[in-house]
Amino acid sequence: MDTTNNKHNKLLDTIDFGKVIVYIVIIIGCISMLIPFIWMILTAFKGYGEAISIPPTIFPKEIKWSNFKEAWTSLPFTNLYYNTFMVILIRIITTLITSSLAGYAFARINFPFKKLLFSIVLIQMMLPPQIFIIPQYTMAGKLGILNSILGLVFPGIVSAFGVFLMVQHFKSIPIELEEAATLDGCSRFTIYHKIMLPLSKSSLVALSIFTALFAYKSLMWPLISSVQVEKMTLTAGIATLKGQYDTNFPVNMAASFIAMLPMLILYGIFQKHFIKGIAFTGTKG
Amino acid sequence: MKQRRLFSLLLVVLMFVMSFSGCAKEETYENSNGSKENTSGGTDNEVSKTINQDEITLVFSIWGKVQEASMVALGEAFTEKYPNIKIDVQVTPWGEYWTKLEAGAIGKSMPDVFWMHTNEINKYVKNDLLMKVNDSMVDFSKFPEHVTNLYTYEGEKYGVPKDFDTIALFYNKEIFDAAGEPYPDNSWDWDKLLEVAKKLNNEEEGIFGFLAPYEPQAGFYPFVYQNGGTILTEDKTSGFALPETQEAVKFYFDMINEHGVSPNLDYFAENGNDTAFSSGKAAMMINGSWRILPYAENEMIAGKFDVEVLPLGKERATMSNGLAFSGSNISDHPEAVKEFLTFLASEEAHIIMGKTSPAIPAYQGTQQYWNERLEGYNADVFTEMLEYAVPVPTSQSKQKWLELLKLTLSSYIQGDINEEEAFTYITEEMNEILETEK
Amino acid sequence: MRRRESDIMWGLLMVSPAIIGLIILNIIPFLNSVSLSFMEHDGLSDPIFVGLDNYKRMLESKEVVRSVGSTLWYALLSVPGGAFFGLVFAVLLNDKIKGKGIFRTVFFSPMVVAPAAIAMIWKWIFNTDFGIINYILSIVGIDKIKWLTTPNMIIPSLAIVTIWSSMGYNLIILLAGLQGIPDHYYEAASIDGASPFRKFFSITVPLVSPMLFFVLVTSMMNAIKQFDLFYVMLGSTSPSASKAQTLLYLFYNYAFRMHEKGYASAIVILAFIILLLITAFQFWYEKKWVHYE
Repeated sequence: MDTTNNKHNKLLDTIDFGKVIVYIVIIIGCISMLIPFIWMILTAFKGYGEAISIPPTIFPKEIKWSNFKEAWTSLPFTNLYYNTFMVILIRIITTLITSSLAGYAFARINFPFKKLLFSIVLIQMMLPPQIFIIPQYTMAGKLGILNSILGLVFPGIVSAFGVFLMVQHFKSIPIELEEAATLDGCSRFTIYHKIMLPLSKSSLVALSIFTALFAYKSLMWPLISSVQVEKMTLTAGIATLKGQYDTNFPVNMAASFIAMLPMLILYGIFQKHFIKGIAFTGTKG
Repeated sequence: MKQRRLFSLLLVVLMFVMSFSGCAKEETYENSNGSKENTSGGTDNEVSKTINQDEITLVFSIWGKVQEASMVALGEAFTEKYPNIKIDVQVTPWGEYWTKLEAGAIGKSMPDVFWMHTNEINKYVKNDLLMKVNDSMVDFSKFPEHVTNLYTYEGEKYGVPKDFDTIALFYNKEIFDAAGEPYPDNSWDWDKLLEVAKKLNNEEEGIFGFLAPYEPQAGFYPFVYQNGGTILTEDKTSGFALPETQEAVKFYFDMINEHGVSPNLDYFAENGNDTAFSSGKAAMMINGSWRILPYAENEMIAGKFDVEVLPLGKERATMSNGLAFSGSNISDHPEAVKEFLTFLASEEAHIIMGKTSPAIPAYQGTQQYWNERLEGYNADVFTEMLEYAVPVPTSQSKQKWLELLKLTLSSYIQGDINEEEAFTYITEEMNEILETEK
Repeated sequence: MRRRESDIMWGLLMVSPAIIGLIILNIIPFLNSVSLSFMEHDGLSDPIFVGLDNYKRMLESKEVVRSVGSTLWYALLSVPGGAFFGLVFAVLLNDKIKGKGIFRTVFFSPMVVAPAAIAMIWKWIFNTDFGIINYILSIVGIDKIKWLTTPNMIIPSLAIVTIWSSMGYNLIILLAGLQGIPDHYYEAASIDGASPFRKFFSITVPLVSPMLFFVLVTSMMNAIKQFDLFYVMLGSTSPSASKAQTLLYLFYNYAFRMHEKGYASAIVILAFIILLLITAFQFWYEKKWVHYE
């Protein structure tokens, strides 16, 4: 009995110690992650001259709430939010569907030209985005979708990144789960949507987050494909505040803060889905 | 089932979006209805009555959000005269402006009127994308010749002068006061500049006497011309072969190495070319007229600085550049574009800009409105210096030799090569580059 | 896997939306770039055919050779580092920790913070005269280091920024991968008396390896394509920056400042070929360490 108690105590000690280390490491990581966010907010409250002065000041000398007001009034935020939201929504739908379909096929089905077609996926990722812009612009022009939401969505309807991500995901699902269904005579499509998709929640959530993020951050395309600021996304709209020699950083930061809040909130909501316990419902035998 | 729900959701969303983009299409300037307009033959400022009252919207593209209000004011004044033509001012940040313009040119959807810059104009003229501006639209005698020339190719003009800039001496009054030193005046010469820079340079306090970043137009160019040198000779060869040019460049960058009154290039790279001045850490620097209004609004140095003419070298000289308004040669509304360009060349337009834009308007006599906004500063000097201003040297391959200058001179300043090597190399390479233009 | 006739149909059908989209949106422009690399083109005028001139010029150019070196060095420093830290934090934030939702959101936040803010803060941290790092070093008696202006220090400094900023991305992917590891594996290992380290290397790493592979492949691609960070952190007037330019920074310079789109396209093709070789190697090596069920 005594020995069991001692063992138990020792174990407790090790667990606590380990947990503490873990928390410390995480908190150090968090602090470093938060620094730019804090910097952004502090800068948003500074005066125009102070924000670019050297040596840099940490806290604003006086708090300029006017920056937020100016940011809010210098851009059509309602339009920008709407456009960004729509682009994200549409792209998430199209990307999730096309990527998961293709991902499953590449991962689990044998068909001719598979290697060649997959190399197309990889090739896209190996190319710098700048070479796509002008050809895509010309295409969008011919389709008549410039200066519209469809225009904004256009380059991101499909995602090579998404396909690759889903391929890796599907490859890591145990094959036994599928074989049971195949024996039952299910078609590939049924396997896809009855078995594979339900097991893909985390990866689909990850892909959604990335799609949203890339759409949000995209700068050059919305700036070029839209004529009026009202037709742009948040990031592009804020970029129009930049000057050639000078930028009013505090107002820029205030605008960026206003823009990023919804994204953060959305992420906070969705990250819950990175939770274990997605039932491995495949029953053996 | 999940599948069906997803699909119907997608359908609904798509339908919604389609309807929205349908509306959007009508609003775009790519109005394929092709409004026919008949303008009267008159070209002066009378209100032209157009027979067809279709509303036309011209897209007017600029970079520089800070001038948006000014351009909008121009657009509104124009619409008062031509009620059926609206001007839609669009701001694109400088970094993306040219890609967008080029994409528009390729896709045949360029804006109707836009700012043009000497770095890029070549491409557009070569491909016949800019509308020719003739004497019936613009009275060129009212504008500084050198700005007009920047946008003239083979005798044809492709831009309406918008503004001009000059380079002046900026100084920090507080630093001068603290040292009991009298402010710069128009009697100053190079020796005096150096003398005062040394006096005011204070290492312990972190005060620099003079800022000498790597900067052509607002940096060493004025010194070159003041010394009787040139960047480009008249027969398009490199001016760096001339001893006058070399002396001047050396004088300027000696501020860093020899005299230690200026930070070095790494400092400027990390902190920006003029941040030391706007943070009150530099006694003097030279910079362009486009900086004075932003400084006046910078709470760190507002009221604490002033400007003066550049010190005298062997002669007086300063650099001057200017922007122009250009019209698209492939616009759907060429007549409207002509009217707008004509308006932009008028005194009225430049008075509006004088009152609202940070740049100095180009039309003769309108500069006073700009000066008035800078009470308390010696801002007249910018316009005064126009008398002896030298146009910023440019050529077709400018970007290439500018890059060459930057790399080679940086090596020289950092001490990697000596001045003889630097100047010889520059001369040779620059001449090679210039040869390709012929 | 049993192959059925319907497999061919389903396979092709299911990949077609994505593939067709990619061909139209990306492959066609790519082929356009390839043909452009044999021409001289300022962007607007008619392109002029110049054969292999661009390639010859590129291979003889010191600038290009140096930038290949810089780019590869940068990739070598930033990719493994980013993957490693991403994995460590993914594992930590997957555990039974209170408030992991908040922590995860915090780790995600740099991805939506304005890139300008991120550049500003890192520029300040690395600043020679006013930066935090040098300040701390001075307290300990070490001389100022010119992080962003000494040619040799630029790449390591920017690699640090990259490792830090890729954390959010890698975290998301690896978290998704970790979800697929059933608890009972760990439980069984605990019963057998395995230490946390043992569990990490014998269970976690193999089972998360498909996603880890994904992270390594995509990070490598991003590293070779790197341009934004350099552009924003170094600006164009830094004399040392020219000694540490990445390939794509060169591309940008030639395409958009010098109006030499043909030569720029050749540079893109070079970057692409380099990436192709690296990626091919990674896929070949995949069989040796990536574990699929």
